[in-house]
Amino acid sequence: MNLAASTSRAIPPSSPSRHQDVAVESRDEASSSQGSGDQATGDVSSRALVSLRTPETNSTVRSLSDSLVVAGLTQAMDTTLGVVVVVSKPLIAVGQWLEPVVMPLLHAAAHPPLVPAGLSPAAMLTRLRRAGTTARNELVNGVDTEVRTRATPLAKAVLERVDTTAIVLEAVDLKAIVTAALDSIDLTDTVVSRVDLERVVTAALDAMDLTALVRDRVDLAALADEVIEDVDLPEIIRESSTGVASDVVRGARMGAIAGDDIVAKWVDRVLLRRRARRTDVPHERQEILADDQATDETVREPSAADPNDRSAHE
Amino acid sequence: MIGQLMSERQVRVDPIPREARPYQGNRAGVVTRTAAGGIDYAIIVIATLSTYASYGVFVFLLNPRGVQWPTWPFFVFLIIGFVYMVTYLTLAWATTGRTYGARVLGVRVVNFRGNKVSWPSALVRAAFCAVFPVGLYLCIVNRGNRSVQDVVLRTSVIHDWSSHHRADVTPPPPESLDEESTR
Repeated sequence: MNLAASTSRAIPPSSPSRHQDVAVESRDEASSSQGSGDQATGDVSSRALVSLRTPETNSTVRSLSDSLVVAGLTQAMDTTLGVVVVVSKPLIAVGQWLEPVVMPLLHAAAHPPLVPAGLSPAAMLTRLRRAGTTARNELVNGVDTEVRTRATPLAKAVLERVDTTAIVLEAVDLKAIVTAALDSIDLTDTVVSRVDLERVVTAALDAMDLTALVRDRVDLAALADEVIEDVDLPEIIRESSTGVASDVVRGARMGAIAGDDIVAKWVDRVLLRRRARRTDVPHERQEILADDQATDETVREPSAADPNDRSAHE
Repeated sequence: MIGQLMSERQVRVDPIPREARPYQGNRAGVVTRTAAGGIDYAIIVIATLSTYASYGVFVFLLNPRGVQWPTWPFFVFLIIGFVYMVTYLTLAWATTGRTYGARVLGVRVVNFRGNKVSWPSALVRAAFCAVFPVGLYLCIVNRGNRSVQDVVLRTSVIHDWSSHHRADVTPPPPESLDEESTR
C-alpha cells in the first residue's frame, strides 16, 4: 500500500493519464490485496514498475541519466527491471490462477479459528507493518535531516571546485535568457517604480563637473547661434522694451513706407520709367558709413572677423 | 552663459524691425514726408493759435471790463506761423536732424555727407520750406525722392528709425544677429 502510494508520487505531474492508470492499478491492487499479505504487495510493485516503463517515463529517466552522465547505472537499473518483469510475469499469472484457491486459504491462515485476534497472524503482520512504517519514516526523516545538514556544505564544496561561471557561459544561451526576461518584464516601469531616480541623478550630477563637461563637449558658440536664430532674440528684446504706442508708430511708419512705394510705382509707370528709383544714400554718405564701420571693427575682437565684412574688403 | 558668449562675440542687437531695415538710409517718399510735415504743420498751427489765445487772455487781464477779443488780420497769423515754423525747423534740423513729425515717421534730414545739417543750412532750408512748401512734391516725380529744397541745398530726408542722436545711421554690421538671421 505504501509502495503504491510512493509509486504514485513518483509519477511525473506532467502525465495525468499515467497517474490515473497507476492510481487505478493501485486501487485494484488494494482491493485484491485486502488481507492477502506480502505476496500481493510484491505483485503490485512489479505491476507498478511495469507501468512506469512508458515512453514519457523513459524519456524522463533518459534525460536524467544524460544530465547526470550515469549511463552505466541506467543500464544496470534497466537490466534489473527487465529481470523483475520477466520473473514477475509468470508469478503474477500463477498467482491469478491460484487466487480463488489461495486467497481463502491465506485468509484462513491469517485468521485461524480458536486463536485470539491479537495473536492471529494478520494482527502480527499488521504490527510488523506498523513497525516497518515507523522505521521507514524514521529512516526517511533521518536521511532528510542528513541531506539538509550536509547538502549545503557539499554543494559549496562542489561549487568551489567547479568553475560554474565558465560552465554557464559555455552551456547556457545567456542572450536568449536575457532577451526572454527583458521581453517578459517592463523594464522602464520596474526602474521607475523601484529606483530612486532623483537620488541616482543627484549622485551622478554631484559626481561630475557638469559645467566643465558641457564646456568640453558642447559647441557652445554654434548652440548659441542656433538658439539666437530660433528665438529671434532681437524681436523679443524689441517687444519687451516697446509698448502699444511704439507698435502704433511702427505701423504708421510702415504704412507710410508702403504708400511711398505705391505712389512711386504708379508715377514711374505713368512717366514710362523703366529703371527703379535710386533712393539710397548719397555716395559721400556711403564712405562715411564705411569709415564708421572700420572704426567699429578696430574695437571688436580680432577673432570675430567676418569674411562678409564689407569694411574688411574695402 | 549665452550672454557671456554674446559679449565675447560682440553680437549687436539691431533695434530696427526686420521689415524696416531695407529702407534705413534711403530717401523717404512723398507719403512719409507729407505725413511728417502734416504733424509739424499741426504743431505750428496749434502754437500759433495758442499765441493768439494767450494774447487774448493777456488783454483780458489788462482790462477785464472793456475786454474785446483781439481781431488779428490773417497775415499776422501767417507771420507768426512763419516765424514759428522757421525757428522750429531750424532748431530741430540743426540739433537732432528731425522734427517731431519726422521723429514719429522715422525720418531725418541730412546733408550731402549724410551728417546733420549745419545751422545756416538748417535756417535756409527751414525758410525755404516755410516759403515754398509745395516744393516737397517734387519728390513725387524725382528719381531720387528729392524735393526742391533737397535739390537746391543738397540735403536728403532719409529713413532713420534708430533712436540714437547720431546724424549718420550705421547699418547693421555684418556680425549682427539680425543680418545673419535674414540671410
